[in-house]
Amino acid sequence: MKFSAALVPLLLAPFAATEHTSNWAVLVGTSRFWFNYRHLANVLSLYRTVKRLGIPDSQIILMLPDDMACNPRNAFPGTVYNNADRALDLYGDNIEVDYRGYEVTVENFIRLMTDRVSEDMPRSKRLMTDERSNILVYMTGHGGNEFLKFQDAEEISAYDLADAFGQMWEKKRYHEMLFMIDTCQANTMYSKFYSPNILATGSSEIDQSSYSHHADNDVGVAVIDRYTYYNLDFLEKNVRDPTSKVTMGELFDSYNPADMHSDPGIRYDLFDGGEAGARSRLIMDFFGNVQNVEIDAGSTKNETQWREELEAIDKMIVEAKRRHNESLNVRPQAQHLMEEIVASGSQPEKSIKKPGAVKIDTESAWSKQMVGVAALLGFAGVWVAGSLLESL
Amino acid sequence: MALDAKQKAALFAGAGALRLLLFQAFPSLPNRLAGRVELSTPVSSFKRLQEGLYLYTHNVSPYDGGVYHQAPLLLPLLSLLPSASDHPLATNLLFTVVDLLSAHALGQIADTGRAASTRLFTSSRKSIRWSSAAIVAGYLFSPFTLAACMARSTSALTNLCILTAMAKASQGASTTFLLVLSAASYLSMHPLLLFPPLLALLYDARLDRSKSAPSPLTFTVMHTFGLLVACGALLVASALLTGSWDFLEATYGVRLLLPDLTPNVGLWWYFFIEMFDSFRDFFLGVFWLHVASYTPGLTIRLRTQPLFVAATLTGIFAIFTPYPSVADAALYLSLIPLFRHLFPLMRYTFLASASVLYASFLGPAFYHLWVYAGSGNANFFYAITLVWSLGLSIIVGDSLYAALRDELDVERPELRDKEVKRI
Amino acid sequence: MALLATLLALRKDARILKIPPYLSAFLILVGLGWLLVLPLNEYSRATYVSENALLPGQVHTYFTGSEHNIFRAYRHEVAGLVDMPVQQRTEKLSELFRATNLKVATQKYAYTPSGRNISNENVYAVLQGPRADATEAIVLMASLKTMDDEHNYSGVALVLALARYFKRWSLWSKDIIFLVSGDSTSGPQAWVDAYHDAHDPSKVESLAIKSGALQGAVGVEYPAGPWGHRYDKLHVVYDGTNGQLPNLDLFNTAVNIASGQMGIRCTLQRMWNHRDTYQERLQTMLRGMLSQGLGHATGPHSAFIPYHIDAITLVTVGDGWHDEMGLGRTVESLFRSLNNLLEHLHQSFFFYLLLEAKRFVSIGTYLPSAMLIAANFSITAIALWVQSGRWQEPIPNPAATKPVSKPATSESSIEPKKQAEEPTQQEEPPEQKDTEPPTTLVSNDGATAIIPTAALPISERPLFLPAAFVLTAHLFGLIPLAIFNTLPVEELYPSFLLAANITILLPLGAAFFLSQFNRPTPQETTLIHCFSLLFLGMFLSALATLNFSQSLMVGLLTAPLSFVRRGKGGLGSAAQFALLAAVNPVMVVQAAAYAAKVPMLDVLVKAAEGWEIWGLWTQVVMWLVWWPAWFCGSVVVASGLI
Repeated sequence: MKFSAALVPLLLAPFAATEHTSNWAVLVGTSRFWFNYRHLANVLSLYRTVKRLGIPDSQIILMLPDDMACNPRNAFPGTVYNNADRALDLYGDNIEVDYRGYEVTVENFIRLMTDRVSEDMPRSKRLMTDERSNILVYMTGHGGNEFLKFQDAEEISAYDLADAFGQMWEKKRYHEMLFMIDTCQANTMYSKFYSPNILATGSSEIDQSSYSHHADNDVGVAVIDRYTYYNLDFLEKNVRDPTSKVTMGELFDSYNPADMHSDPGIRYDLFDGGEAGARSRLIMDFFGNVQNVEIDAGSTKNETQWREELEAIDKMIVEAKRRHNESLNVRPQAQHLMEEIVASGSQPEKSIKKPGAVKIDTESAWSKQMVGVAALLGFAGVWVAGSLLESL
Repeated sequence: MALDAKQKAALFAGAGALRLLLFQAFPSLPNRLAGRVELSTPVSSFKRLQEGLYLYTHNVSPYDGGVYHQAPLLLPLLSLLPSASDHPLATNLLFTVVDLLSAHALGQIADTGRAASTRLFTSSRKSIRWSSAAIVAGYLFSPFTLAACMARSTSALTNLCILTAMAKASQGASTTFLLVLSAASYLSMHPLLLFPPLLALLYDARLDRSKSAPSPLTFTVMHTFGLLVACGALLVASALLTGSWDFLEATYGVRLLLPDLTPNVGLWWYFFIEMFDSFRDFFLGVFWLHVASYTPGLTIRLRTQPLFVAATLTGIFAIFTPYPSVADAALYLSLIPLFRHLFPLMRYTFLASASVLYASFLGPAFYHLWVYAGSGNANFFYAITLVWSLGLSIIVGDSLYAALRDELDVERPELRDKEVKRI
Repeated sequence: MALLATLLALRKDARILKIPPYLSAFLILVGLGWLLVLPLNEYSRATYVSENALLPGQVHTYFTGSEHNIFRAYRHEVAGLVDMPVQQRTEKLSELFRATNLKVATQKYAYTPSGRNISNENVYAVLQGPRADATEAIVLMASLKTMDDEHNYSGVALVLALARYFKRWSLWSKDIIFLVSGDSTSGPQAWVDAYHDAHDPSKVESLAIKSGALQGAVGVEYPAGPWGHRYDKLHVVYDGTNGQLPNLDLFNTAVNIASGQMGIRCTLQRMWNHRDTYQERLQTMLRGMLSQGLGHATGPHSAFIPYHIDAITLVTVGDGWHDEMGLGRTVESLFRSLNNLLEHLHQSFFFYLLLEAKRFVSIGTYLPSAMLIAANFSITAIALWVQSGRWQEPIPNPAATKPVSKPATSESSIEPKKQAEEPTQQEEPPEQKDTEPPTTLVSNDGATAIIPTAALPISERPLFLPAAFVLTAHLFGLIPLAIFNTLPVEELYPSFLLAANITILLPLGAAFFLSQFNRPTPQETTLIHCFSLLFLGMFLSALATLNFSQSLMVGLLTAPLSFVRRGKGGLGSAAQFALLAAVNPVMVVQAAAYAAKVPMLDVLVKAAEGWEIWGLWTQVVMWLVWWPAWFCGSVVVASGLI
């Protein structure tokens, strides 16, 4: 930290407060089924916004539990809209869903956040952040007091979430975090957070529902939630390009409980600098990508190591090719075997004898009946003998 | 004896005719009943037997497919009959005859009079009894027996074996007793638990017959050995028939480990559906221990009334075994009239019979709501099976109380009709 | 403690036996009163759609404009084909469906209830959901004849027009089956039976094409002729066979869409002008209960409900300004809602009573009334059981010495005359030992040592005759059941009159016959009464879970059975018998038919039709539950008369 603190004034002089070097976004929808169309539209709207403001797909983790675009009930196949005017197809032709369908689970979400994943997990499914990364976490779905349902099957509690973020802080996985949640009783979800530098906002107080904004009468379902709608509205109107200097404070001031039909909440106390510090943060610190690149101080990282790695990769490729070729060789052999079996069809009893799979045969019923007669006679015989014995 | 031949013939003819009439008049009824979960359990269902028989006659192991869980030797015996779907008459006749034989055995038990007076104990109310004709009629015309017979569940065969074993034991016929008891155990395993009380009954009967008493120890060892030989012979024959010992797992394994959780009138299925997998083995053990623990307890406490112990155990089987059916309850309920002398001492007869009756009507209604109408759920049916089991356990508990009270009246005549209090 | 002691003391009090009749009467009154408060706002609820997926009325409907011309064209086609022979009509209908590129099949059926011939042909077409997986389907149907036996011109035309219109949408997640049935009840029954392979192939043809599991069905009845007719309201019919109801969500969705989205008012149970007053709510509820209690099929939807397929029929009624396109758009919107379903409707109620289109009473609120009435029988049965145990008390009493107790053991009950007054007066002793723990025994013996201990077994009840009698009575009900379901039409009414006469005389005859053997001793009479009421209470409480209204109706009509007793002859008994004769099942049915101005023959014919085709259980309840209970009660009274 000392080291970076020393560098900061040099490199990021104009943005002394925003000392992050990368931006990530984790966008999570947690509900499936057609009538929850709006939750998916919420997430895709946010996805579109952060992409518009510069976060690349490689730094966005998008979790979508259902595929509304391909639902048979969708009157406009292949599209998802967040407005009844249907001006903007959120699905478009360029979205990358990282976790989809039944992959969207509480476990996968927490593993993603804390990076407890197996080695072979693809990069697209990992949150490769460090202590200089700002993260936007957006969640939407059906929730309640201190929980958020995942896919009708399980739920994440406010404590789980707080502990996951706590662990992320311990592991130096974020610098600052903006947590947004749009669900019923959303504000309870961030009430248990304890790790520093989290700015949290939610759509509704405890015992309040969050409402949808409007329905599209051709799609036949509600297309967006109020809280998300007004956030997007602000972002579209006021944050037009990545150089925007609009602050979080201005965004929060735009929240109007009368529009949203619920009381949105904001939690400043964990943030460095408290309310004033949080409100002065730029929206671009969370929604856009940082434009300032910090050159790695250890750029003299020796070249030999790099070459060795390259060679190792070459070897792996060669090995893979060899295995592939071998497998090519094996297949014709297998075909040979098959032909041999066919050729020796005259004596099939020699071939595969599988226990259990026997040819069904009706003809032998009489032999079974003989067994039956024998069993019956045997039992009767023993019975008579026994009776005789007793009568003696 | 008490049952004169004419009366008996009329009774049996009537019962047989009634069964055949029902089979003929309502040709779809047997299949409908065979599909009822109350009558057909995975280990006694006639439909599953048909499936096993089909596989068997087509040279496929009957246990392939995991549908058939009954004893292998049933298959060659039933393969002697023409197919039940084409010529149901033969099968119907078989099950009618099985019921009549069971009734005959029950009549024999009643004739020996061992229900009220044994070697070691004679009830003071011994004179209060029903004629064996009435008891046999009670069995033959009980709606539960009729339904079980119509459903052609193989429990009827088990019941026949159990009743015959009781009859043979009360007549003191060792060999045949061992044969039928081993057959009963071979068919459905839990009748093995009847061995201790019935052995005691057999011993008493033997002593009554011939005064030269064999030593109890040699008697027990001899008969235990005999039972093992008989059971072993049946199992070996089964293994020879099916070509492997796999049938053990498919028959007794299923009874022990309860892999099939089809609803039935018992208490296990719902419990084990709700059970977390990690506790399953533990509770299987506990449940089976619970069932088994009644045998030694009751046999020791009521050593003087072994027939009553055996009858009570059949009641306990009808409640606490994993796959009980109405046929098991029918067996117990038709043994109860043997103990007519205990009726005056029973206190909850109205409650028990009312709950059994209510359960018999509400059970199918709630099952319908759950499975067919879709407007109820499994809890409805389970609640009724609880009432059913409650009714049966009230009868078991109340009759046990009556038996103990009866014993007390003999031991302490001065306490007769006095209130008993637990101190 | 003091209270407990009082209660214990009470239990021994002989006066306790006097309570049950009052308690029974009280339960019946409470049960009835309960029904009367149900229409109040405090006991009913506004309907709501509880299934999230339905989203009623959230879609624009486009069944307008040029579709109207197409509809009119179809209506003319239909008007042309109603008078054709069945064969030709079927071909024409199939052709119309085929023209919209649907798979079409037909189904013949021929039933013969009471010797009549009910035969016709169904035509149906399957629209495969373009992007669906064909595992589920919903049904839109119209019968050629409505329930009121009018030609359903516009209904059938609407199905054809909607089939053509739906075919152009790509958003169906389920298959849609369009069914034009030959008549309004038997046709759909034949079709749905065959769809589930539950049909008798000798009467009903198997279906050539099928689709997935049926999730819902909507029937349309719009008997406007080729020149149209503007209607005022939609009558939503929802009763299924045997009083089963569709899930309330389906009803709510239909009402919600029709009234909320289309502005068409909905009505139910033939309450054409419902102003939501207490009386009208009550009337609606009672009509609903009557319809449910009779259990007959009320429309094309009825056949579906026993198969756990939620179904309703929409019928246009009155003269107003709504046109066929309004109905078409209602159906369109309803199908869009059903299309949204992810699973069978299960969220909302299956047991309810509707007070008006947007107000209902749920099962938890109304069930107690039927249960209370059923409980009254059980309570009387228990009281009679206790009482029957006391018949023996007079025997030791007059003697009060040991010798007399001896003949008592022989179970012959002597002195039947005394018993009438004795049991109500005194004698705590043995009554509790049958139903209660043994706490009472010792105190009794301590207090009244006069009673010899050996006298105890005598309170055994002679169970055989009563049990056999009650069972026989119930089995006897099979005879009329079989007769009325098999006789040809012309013999039905004479047999009914015969049955009515026999029913009145039979109890007297049975009582006289038994009296020849001196058999129904007063104790046995009490036990007959007890068993019969026990059975009745049991049947009715089981029935209340299946068909609440039927249970309640039978319960009310049999209520006098709780209060009649075997008298000592004379005017009392005669009055009791007259009362029972007045409420005998046959008489009640006849009176009801007269009150409803329906010829008795029609009732009998419909009942036989219901038994053969719809699987109606009402006669079973009538002949195997109600009639035997009445018969047993009457014999109890009659045995006092003779």
